[in-house]
Amino acid sequence: MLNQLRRNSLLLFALLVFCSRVPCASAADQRLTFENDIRPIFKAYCFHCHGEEKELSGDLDLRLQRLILKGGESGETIVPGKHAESLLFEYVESGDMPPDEKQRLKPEEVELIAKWIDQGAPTAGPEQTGDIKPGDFLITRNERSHWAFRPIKKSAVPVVVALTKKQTENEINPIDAFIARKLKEKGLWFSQSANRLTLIRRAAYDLTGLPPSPEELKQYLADQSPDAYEKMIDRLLESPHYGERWTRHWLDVAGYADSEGYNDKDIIRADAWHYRDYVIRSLNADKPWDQFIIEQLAGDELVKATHASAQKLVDGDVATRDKLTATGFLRLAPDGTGSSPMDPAIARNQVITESVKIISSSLLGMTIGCAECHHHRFDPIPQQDFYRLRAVIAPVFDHEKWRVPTNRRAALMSEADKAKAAELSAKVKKLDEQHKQKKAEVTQLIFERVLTEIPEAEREQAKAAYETERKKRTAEQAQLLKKKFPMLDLLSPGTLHLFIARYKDGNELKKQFEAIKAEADKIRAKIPQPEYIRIATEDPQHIPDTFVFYRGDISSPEPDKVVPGGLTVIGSELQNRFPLNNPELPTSGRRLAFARYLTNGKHPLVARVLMNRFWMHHFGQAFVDSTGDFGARANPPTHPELLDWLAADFMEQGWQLKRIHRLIMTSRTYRQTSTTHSEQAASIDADNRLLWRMNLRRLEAEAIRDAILAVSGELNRNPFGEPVPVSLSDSGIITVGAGKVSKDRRELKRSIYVQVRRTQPVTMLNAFDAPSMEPNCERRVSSTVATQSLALLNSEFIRKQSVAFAKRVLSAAGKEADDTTLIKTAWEMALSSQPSDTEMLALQKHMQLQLKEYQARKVKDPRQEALTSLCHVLFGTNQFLYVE
Amino acid sequence: MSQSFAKSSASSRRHFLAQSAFGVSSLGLVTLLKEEQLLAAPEKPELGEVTHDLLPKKTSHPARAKSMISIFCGGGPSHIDLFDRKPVLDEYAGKRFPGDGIKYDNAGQATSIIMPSPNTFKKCGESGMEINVEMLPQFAEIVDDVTLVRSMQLPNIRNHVAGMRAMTTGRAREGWPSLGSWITYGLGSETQNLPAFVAITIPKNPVGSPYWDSRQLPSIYQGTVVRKTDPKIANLNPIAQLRGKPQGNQLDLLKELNQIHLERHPGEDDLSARIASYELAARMQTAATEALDLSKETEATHKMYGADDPVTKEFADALILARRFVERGVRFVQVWNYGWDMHENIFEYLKRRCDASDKPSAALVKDLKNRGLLDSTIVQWGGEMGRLPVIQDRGEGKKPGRDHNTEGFSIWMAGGGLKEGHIHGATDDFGHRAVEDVVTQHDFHATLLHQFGLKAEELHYDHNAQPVALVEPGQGKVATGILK
Repeated sequence: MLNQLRRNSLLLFALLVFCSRVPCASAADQRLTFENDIRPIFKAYCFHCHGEEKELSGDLDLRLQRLILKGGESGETIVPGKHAESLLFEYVESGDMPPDEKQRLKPEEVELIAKWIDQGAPTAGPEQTGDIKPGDFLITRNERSHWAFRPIKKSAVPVVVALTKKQTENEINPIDAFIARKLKEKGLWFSQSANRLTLIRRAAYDLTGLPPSPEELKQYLADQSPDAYEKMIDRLLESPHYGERWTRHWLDVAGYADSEGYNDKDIIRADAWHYRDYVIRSLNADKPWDQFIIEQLAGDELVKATHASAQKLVDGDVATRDKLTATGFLRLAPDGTGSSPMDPAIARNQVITESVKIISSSLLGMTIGCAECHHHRFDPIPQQDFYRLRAVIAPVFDHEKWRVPTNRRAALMSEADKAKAAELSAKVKKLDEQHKQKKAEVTQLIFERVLTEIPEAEREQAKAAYETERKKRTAEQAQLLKKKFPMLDLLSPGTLHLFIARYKDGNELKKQFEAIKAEADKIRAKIPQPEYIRIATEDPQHIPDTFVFYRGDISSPEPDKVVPGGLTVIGSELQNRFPLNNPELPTSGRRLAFARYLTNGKHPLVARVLMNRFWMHHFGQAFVDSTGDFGARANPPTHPELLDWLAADFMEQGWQLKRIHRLIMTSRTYRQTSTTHSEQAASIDADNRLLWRMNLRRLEAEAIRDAILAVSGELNRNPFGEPVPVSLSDSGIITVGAGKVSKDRRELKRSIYVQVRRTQPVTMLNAFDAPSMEPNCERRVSSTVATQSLALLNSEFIRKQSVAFAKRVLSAAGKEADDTTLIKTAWEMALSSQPSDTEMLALQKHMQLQLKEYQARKVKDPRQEALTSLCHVLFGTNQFLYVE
Repeated sequence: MSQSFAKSSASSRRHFLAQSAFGVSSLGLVTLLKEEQLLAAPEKPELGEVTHDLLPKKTSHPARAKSMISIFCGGGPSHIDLFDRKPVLDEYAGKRFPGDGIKYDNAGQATSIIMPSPNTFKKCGESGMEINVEMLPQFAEIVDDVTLVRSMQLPNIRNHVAGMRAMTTGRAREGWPSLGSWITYGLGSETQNLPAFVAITIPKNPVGSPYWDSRQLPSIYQGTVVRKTDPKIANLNPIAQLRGKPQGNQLDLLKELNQIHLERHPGEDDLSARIASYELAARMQTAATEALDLSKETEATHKMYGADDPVTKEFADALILARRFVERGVRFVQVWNYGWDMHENIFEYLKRRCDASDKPSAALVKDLKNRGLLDSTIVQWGGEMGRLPVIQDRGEGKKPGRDHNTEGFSIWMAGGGLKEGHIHGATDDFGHRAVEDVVTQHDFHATLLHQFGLKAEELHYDHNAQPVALVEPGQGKVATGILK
């Protein structure tokens, strides 16, 4: 199978790709050790055949120095002190090993091996003793002490004299202390604070994804109290738009989509959005993230739901329903099992493995997906770990008793609707019966008429045959009807319509039963239909076993059952294994145990991974750039102690994100201007990794669309609800809605409410790097290309919003207002500031030029058209698209 | 490769700038506007967030091809009736297929009765390539420029959508970047005034998901759809109210405001890049509008392609357009046509499709050759499958057709350093299964990448910290037999 091929080759592939990142050569005189310098090379190139497979190639094991010294089939592998006489050196130098010519060691790696042999092939410390079987996965002390696996440590907040000069220690924001220390070390220092207009715009986009409203702006500027800024942040945190903004961030990593993906049918997921709304509500309520995570991973187990009891629980109270809605998180991976996939077993497996990947990149920040087919080549993740994690979620998916998406949901219906549905259904049922009855009567009538057409002598015989049930007719009877009286053979209530036309009173006869049906249909259409929530539940009657799949091949399970658990490298075995079954729960309890383990405050990855992303969304760069990979190949954090301090503090103080926003946004670090230009600072830290100023950030795709709508005044701020459908427009682009704006103006809702169709990304959002969910997106890219400019210059969307924006300006400033007033009004609405004199001159000139042009063209309202043009330009400016 | 697997701190362009002697704003323009001169892309430092652009990239080895036009014949042109004559079929006419292993897409209408091909094959050109000259009289004239691959095979695939995906993305499953996206990702574009990857659709979009999607790759590598009717390219032209002077005024104002803004943020190359990108957009409007304007072509050219004949016009226009794009530096042009899925009345339908496409397709090769562009342009013609040697019977009154065959089929390619007048590989005696020098979609892709100076095993992209590639290691090998 193609899929299989893909999987099998994945690890080979990883080898090639990552070989360039193997540790670099040490200085010539440096003392090399096996653990630090040589093992990573062997792990990347050689362990695959020489140690980590059950079959030991050439009987040679390269995993430990003592095993290397033992040699293999070809005898002595290395002669310590003499690289030239060492077989291993000869092999790697000549390129005989590794056998795949695409995977040659780099010259500097070969050199390193030579040097290590010459130095006597030393180790850093004593090696693991005892019998080590081929195929066992060894984790070294070095690997265990990788920064991301060490316990999160809250170190003391540094005392930086330059800070304490002006503030007492208690007044100093801990973030500033950590940042200041690093800046100081490099001879750098903070930039000055940004002005108030910049700050409110920055804060509003960060927290709500929208520009500050004119009222908010006014209120903040009018507030002269010393804590005006803090109050403004608090107001924004209370905005209902906050949850919408931060939900977008979470949905990226969770892989939210409104379609099933997997194949080109890309069936619409009509029921995913309740989960999206759950996230928005949770974030707006500042639900502690430990609880938030537990609910998403095991909300069903929290309320003791099973597959059988879920519907009843959903019908119960709202809080319970919410917990079940939360498990929609586990149902976000592409799921093609409801679309008659080519190979159903592979399609099923895909859902499970993609779900493991989503959990690992969103919460654990490790590329555990790499271990689906083989031990991880760079990180201490044995293949078993992938399957331990799989075993955690396996009871939900149950590949042996698979349920397609439509069988993994619960109906949402109010009591009133349910009662109404029951009442109407009863009515319909009654009418349906009447209809059937009437039809049978008419059929009988027709039968009698047909019978009269039959010669009397044969009537009895024909009647007897007809009245015998079709299946019970004797062969003679069947033949008789078929050959002699085909009319009777054909006649049944189902074929009545064929006979009706033969009779003059046919139409009247028809009406007798059709009228009843029409009435039934009318009522049927009124029966309230339920909405559904996607849920993850277990069937306690059937808990599937999990096995490691040899090379990821679902048809090659290995013999030993896998016990659910976390990553081996973290903690001891006891700490990260969960029982197969929790007797106190109706379900296996695996996910609840796993979720509690992740959020018990001791897991080294979860809080770091979350905090790293929170930080990124405020500063445009994270402490650890590879937000979904904290493994060996990741660059270490720029501020490890600050990351840890924040992660620890986050957990200690109840996992509340709004508190963290407040902490970050009230820091001096955050309040810096982004406009500082210092040659000196740039020469030391061109990338601003140490944050000597604020970063300039481009708005994300959704924020751009939302901001345009907000500024034009067209934004429909109604929260929640069904996704707004997307469609392919006549001009060949995919748009929100289908051209016209509906009565309820749903096409103008925020982008978070726009349908995410995996095969139909909205062109405007796609151009600005909205991610495609395959299966999720752990970090967005940000591109600057001409297609974006074309969309900003020529798209119908921009035009419409510019027209609306100009109208809004005119109605705010008054038709009589002069150019300057109009421009000021527009500028303030779009950019929350005042134009400078030079800007004003340019804008006025534009108004005049366009006015002249449109007057010459004799358009209806030249001045309004000129203003529309100016408004249009504002949407395209860097000032609008970027946050300072 | 310049698209190194590096991730981290800050913009690599920023690194580049820091090391550069140029002024910031001018450099932003230079980097984005230099399209004639192949500005070597800066080596991306290990520590640098990968930024993506369409500037020309260095190749791994000297490239034989710079651009490609893929004439995708969706539905599956019948190889045994066009390109791969099997005399055995005549002997077996009306008899049972003696072999086994035929897999039908539609088993209900399947027969195992052999249906021979029309007896209108002839050896053509100096190369003596045997093709059906009645169906493809014009192709007969270019056989000496062409490599005919008779041994295509898509393992484990039977239907169209999966097959078209396999040919364009390497995989049967939905959700992977397209060949054109990969090539523009690997090589950038020779022009910054036109989209790097273009998909021309005639007469309508192929079934299934878009085959020009960039998927995991950044959206700048996505194919731009060029449609038959206006607007041919989305967002290309200003709306009526802005056409001409008004948009010029807008661009002037944008530039002025953005410059003032940039002065407050010196060193922010993203901002200067966007200023440049507006200028590019403006130039793209002019350049693309010019490229789309077929009236610039001579009458002789129109005639040569058959644009003067209603039967061939649609195809002719699309292929003239394809040539105009390639001439102007576009990297990859996909011309999509669908309508080769002939389950019944195959000979009549086949003639009709060939009548519409043969002349324009052959003219394209001749035209490129005359203009000296064929050496650097690969033209590829073919679909995602061929057809079975046995009759598909759709019932009484229906003329026979042929069902899908992905086990063996033919495509042809010309130019771009490929052999001329050459036949590669073979199917079995019945034309059912490729048996000699089999070329899978992975081999096909590896070979194309090779001609473009890219190594399949090096072309990859980091998605969610995991590599995605067109051809995965061990999956495809370069079909060296077709290289010059």
